[in-house]
Amino acid sequence: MHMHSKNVETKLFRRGLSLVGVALGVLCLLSGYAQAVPASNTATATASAIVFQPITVAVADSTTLNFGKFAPTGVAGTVSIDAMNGSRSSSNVFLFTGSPSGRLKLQVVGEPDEGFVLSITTSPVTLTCDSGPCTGGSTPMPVTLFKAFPGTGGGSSPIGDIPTTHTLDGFGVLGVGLGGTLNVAADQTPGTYSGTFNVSVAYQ
Amino acid sequence: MKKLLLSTAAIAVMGLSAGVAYAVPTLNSVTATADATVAAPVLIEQTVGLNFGTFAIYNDAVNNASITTDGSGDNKVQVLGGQLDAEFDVIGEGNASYTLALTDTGVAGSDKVTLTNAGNTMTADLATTGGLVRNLTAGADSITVVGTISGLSGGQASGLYQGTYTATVTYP
Repeated sequence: MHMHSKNVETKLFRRGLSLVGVALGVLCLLSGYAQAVPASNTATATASAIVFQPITVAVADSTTLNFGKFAPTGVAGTVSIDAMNGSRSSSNVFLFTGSPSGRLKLQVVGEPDEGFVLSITTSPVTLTCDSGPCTGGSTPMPVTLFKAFPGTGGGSSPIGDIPTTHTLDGFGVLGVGLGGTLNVAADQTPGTYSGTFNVSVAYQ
Repeated sequence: MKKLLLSTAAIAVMGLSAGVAYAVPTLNSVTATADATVAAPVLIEQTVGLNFGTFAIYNDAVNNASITTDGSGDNKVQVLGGQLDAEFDVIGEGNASYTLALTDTGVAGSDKVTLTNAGNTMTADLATTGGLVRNLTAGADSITVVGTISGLSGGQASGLYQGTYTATVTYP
């Protein structure tokens, strides 16, 4: 709009100059006429950017997702760790209640009050034999992961394939609990099993 | 013109009073022309500011993250939107050629702009689609300037960065 009005002014200016030019030509008997014009023009241009803090995720308190010690039965069963509080439950397996178990705790740090998506980039997540009688041949145990955000209320939910947005607090921090369900085969071969998976976070 | 008319009238009165009838000489005239070609001034105006939008640099980036105003970034940057190439309108003499110069108002020099945030800086390279020697087809031209910031690290301070540069257009 501003440019448009400038353009009109410029045309009017030129027309005015032309009339004056003719008048001068008549009066001064073709004495000649020249008008200097700006041959250069400058605009001040702007540049801007907003840089967010890097968003990071780290394991907190040296925790692991630990399903503890249990005994299989003749039927397939499960061992579950609650993402919210780390409590353990089971079906069709016998839990050794004295053995340590618990959820994985993560801490996400980034830009205050910004949304982010947490995802597991390992698929599927399985536990395979580390040591013991299972060495040399055993059935891997698949894990279904659940997430929870104890600081913000609400329950645990499957991590799932469709990411859900979460929001960092006013200090740019959010604690995440990861639990899961371990699928145990009938007469699962005894031994120590382990696995790894990757957790990633990104701003939404 | 009024004076000319008055003197013609005076001659007519004098002729009548002398009692002699003779033709009043027709006022001879010639159409005089004066020519001057005034080129339209060349004018430039920013219509869209260069905007790198919002982005986050990955923590493990070490002088190797980059972002451009066309919305692309490398694998060390998460691009979060708002990126805009700069746009300028230029008007002037039809079909005239002109040159464009982009100069940082800070220290970075030609075809660059320095963005600052409380002592933290980022330097962007400026590229013009269509080059710096241009033509005013039909008396107007549109310029697109793309900015690229490269060599960023994860430790770059977060916040709003701003800077200015000048765009100068000149007839050759």
